[in-house]
Amino acid sequence: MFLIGIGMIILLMSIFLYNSLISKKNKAYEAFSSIDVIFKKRTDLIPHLVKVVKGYMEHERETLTEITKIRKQLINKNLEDDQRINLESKLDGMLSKINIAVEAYPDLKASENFLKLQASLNEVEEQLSAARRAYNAAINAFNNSVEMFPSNLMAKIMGYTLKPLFKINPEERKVPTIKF
Amino acid sequence: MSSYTQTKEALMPLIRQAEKARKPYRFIEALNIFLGRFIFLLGLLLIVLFLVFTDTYDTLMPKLLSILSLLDSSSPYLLSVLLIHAFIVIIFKSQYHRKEGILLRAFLEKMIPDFIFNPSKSVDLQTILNSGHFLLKNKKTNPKTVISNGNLYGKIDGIGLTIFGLKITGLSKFHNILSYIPFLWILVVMVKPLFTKNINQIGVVFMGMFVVAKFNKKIKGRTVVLPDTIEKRVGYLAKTLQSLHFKRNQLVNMEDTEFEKQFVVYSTDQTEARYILTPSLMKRISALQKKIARPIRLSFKEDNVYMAVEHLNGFLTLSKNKNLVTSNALEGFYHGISTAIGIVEDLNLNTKIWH
Repeated sequence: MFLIGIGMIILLMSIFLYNSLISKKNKAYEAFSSIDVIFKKRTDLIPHLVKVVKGYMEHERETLTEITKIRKQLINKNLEDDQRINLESKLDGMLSKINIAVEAYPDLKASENFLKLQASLNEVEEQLSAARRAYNAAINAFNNSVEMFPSNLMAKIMGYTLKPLFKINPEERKVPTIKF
Repeated sequence: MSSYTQTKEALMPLIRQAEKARKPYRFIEALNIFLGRFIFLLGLLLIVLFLVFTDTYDTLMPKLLSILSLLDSSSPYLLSVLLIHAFIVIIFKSQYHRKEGILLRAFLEKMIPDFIFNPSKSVDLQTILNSGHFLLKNKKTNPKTVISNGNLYGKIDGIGLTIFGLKITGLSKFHNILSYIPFLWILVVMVKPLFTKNINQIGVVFMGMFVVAKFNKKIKGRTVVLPDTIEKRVGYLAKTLQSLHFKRNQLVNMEDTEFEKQFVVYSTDQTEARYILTPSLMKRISALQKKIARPIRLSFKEDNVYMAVEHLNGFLTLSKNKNLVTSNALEGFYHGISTAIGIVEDLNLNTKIWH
């Protein structure tokens, strides 16, 4: 009877740990998918950005071409997650370059179309930053379960390993935000 | 905004006049409380004395019945005394509030001329519930009656701001009507007043400042920031306990450790909560908490931010027991209003990420 009791407790604990790990893994996927949605929003804004700025920014043609190239790669559906994150990081850097370069083009800064577009881009960047933080929080909860006792035992059985956090590109960190 | 000294000096005659009207009401209220408690304790004492000095049940009952019959024969007199008493309280109370309304309006007009003070305007219960600060169907936090000390409306840097002085009670309107009949009221709330320092706090869910302001982002769900009362007591276990709060939305663990120590965040959406609570806003909220040094509740819904700050003696009203001329009652009022208006700058509500 005592052994059956112990067995039941172990079984219930295992079920709880198993379900909790699955739930945390799914939350991490969900958080990643929300980043994906915002990445998509940003990618959709790129053609408008190129169209609006190319008439003004004569000396930034190379950057604009690079941005268009990255966008083309991003809309390819066969991309792996890692490749996608790398490309998005590159895009971050390129957009920051454009934001700084804008300072040298007063006509562009005064253009209503550009201001509207920049407002949309700022909004998307804010959402993206929030989504990345939400993703990191979900990954943090998952990683804690993978490392902490007793959930680490179940994680080992399930073959779960630590997941990497979303890191901010060092280049991106240095870039100041755009000022009007 | 005029300084406190300027405002007080300009309104000194009015302050003196208001203080003159406040004194008799203060006396009547103190007398009420004293008499109520005295009668209640006397009743208790009589029962104890009967129990101690009476040998048997047979001798106790006739004595109790004789006292009850005495009360019964004098009930018409008792009733008329109660009615006269209630009438006097109502007259002094209305005089008190009228004078206070005149003084506050003049004070606020001098202090912040761009704002409009309406002493009779209230906030509806639905707005309070929309804020998500308080929960329905919870014995401790279920608001039943909202008593407002009016509202103050104006704009700071183009941001619309409505400030309310609120008292939310878990008691029904019936109980509030009873407050005009002091003896009965004491019986209704029974023993509680004997142990309560501030009689105005009986049955109170919340008393203090409630601000509704325009937020600089559009929000689909609702995010609520509440004071964290558990973390200091149980440490890291707090998160587990807080996540089990089924009447709230999802618990959101924020990255800012200082903010996390002071607040607990519940939201309909993890990402949206972080979209609202940016690292800079979290720092600002923590700084505001330090500045105010009172429990703060914040919530974000649609394009509004709701903020509630507890003031145990009420907000948009003057401390009853303090002399307006000699004490710091008006200064406290001035600072309370400055804090409410200051949230636009403190929380950076006037900066939009788009133009």
